[in-house]
Amino acid sequence: MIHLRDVALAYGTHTVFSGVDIRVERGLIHAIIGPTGCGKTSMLMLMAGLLKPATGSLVFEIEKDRNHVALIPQDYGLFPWKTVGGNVLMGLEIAVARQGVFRRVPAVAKAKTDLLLQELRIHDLRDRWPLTLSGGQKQRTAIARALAVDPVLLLMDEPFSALDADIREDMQNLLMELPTTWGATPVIVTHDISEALRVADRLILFRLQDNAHSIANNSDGGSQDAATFIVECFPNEKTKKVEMEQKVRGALRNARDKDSSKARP
Amino acid sequence: MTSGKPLDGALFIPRFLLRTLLLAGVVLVFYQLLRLTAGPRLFPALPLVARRFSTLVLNGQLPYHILVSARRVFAGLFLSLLVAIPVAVAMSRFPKADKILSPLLYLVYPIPKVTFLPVLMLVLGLGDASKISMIFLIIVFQVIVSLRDALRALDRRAFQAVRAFGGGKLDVARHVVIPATMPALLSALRISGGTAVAVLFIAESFATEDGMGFFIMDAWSRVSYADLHCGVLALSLFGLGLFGLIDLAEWWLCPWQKPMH
Repeated sequence: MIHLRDVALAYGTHTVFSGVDIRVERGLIHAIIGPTGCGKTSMLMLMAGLLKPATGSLVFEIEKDRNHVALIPQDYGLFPWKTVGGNVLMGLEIAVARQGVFRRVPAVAKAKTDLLLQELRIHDLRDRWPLTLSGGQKQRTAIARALAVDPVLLLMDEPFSALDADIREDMQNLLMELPTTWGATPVIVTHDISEALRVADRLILFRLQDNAHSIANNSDGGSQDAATFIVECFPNEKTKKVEMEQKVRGALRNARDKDSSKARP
Repeated sequence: MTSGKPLDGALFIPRFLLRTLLLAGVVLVFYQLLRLTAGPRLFPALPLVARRFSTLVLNGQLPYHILVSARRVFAGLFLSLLVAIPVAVAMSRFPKADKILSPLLYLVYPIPKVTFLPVLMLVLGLGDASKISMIFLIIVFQVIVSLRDALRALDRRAFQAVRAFGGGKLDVARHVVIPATMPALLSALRISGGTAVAVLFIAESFATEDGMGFFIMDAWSRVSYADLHCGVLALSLFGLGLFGLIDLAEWWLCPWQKPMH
């Protein structure tokens, strides 16, 4: 679906990561995990087109998919000055404004907003302000807003970190339905390995140090020398999941040890 | 249910009127106390003042002077917004503009603008121009400072949210900048609006033949205390109307702030 080809990202002289070469496959849930400061959120920004890579490129399998990427930031990014309905409608309003600044939002866009609010079970919150919503309600609103623009790629930064345990499970189930129900491929950033293993079909592990790329599309934790490496998960197989969790934790620990030993003189 | 705009909307005006009536009651009691202490000559009986007030309203004198003052206030307000908004945007967007304009702003902002009145009258004459410029000077700096700070405080992530949907600068302005800075703008107008009316009174008391300032000072010189109190009442009603308008604008333009009240 997208191929990030030998991508590097830098803020001025500071390189966040380099040599990253990963593919996001349509219909699979991807989770990016890794230590704080390794560039997970920056990677989402890059995929959303909000940041430009210093080197390398983002290749979309179907070029027009580039315009169908939606991003849900960590704090959901809802605008306090718009109602739930207004927030959901915003993406459509922007799309309409692209065709002409003074064009009116068509009735079909409003109908679509209604449908999404109903599907995500937040229709009764339509006229509420985001400041009055619970975490789960905000999350649903943010998802509805993202889905309104028919995204093929849905990027979510720490989508469950601020939620209570029971709502978290509810939202995780909703996330897992996204590829089949809405045709959106989710890429989430999380620091919670168990959560990543529960919801994701594929993990993208990030290391702190920039390094040569290596991808291992296998279940053995990939190469430990890699800047990023991909791990296939089997969320439905419980025994495999426990085994996987240990492997992923081991891989991250090894990567961390390697980084810190490299840092020593 | 903490929101519910229709409910708030239906109760907005009755609540406003109720609060005003309560306050008017307090003022009337205070007036009566003054009448008892300072004597009935300076504070004529309330029914007399009320009758005089209705006469002045019906013969068009008070409405005329209020409209003249209102024209000056709104012209000054409009001009200040016309200048302050682009200046504040430039200062928040371009560090160079901020560097050049900030010292000037900080130099002039703390000076009570009424001190410019003699110079303005000498340069612009005794007509409307000097009075409108006075109001302009009072409001413009307050709006520049408040708006510039509100623009600086904008969360860049809100911009990203719009840009992630493919939005451009116009979309960012429409969906983020304008609504997010509107409360600061209205608050600046509320703060400076009160000062503007007060200073307009002083400006209108020099070599003028119209406006509320003239009416009150004229009544004073004619030793017509009933007229004087009618003028004060009309001026305060004008202030009430001005603040009511700003409150109404806030209710209409910033309805999300209601749950926080």
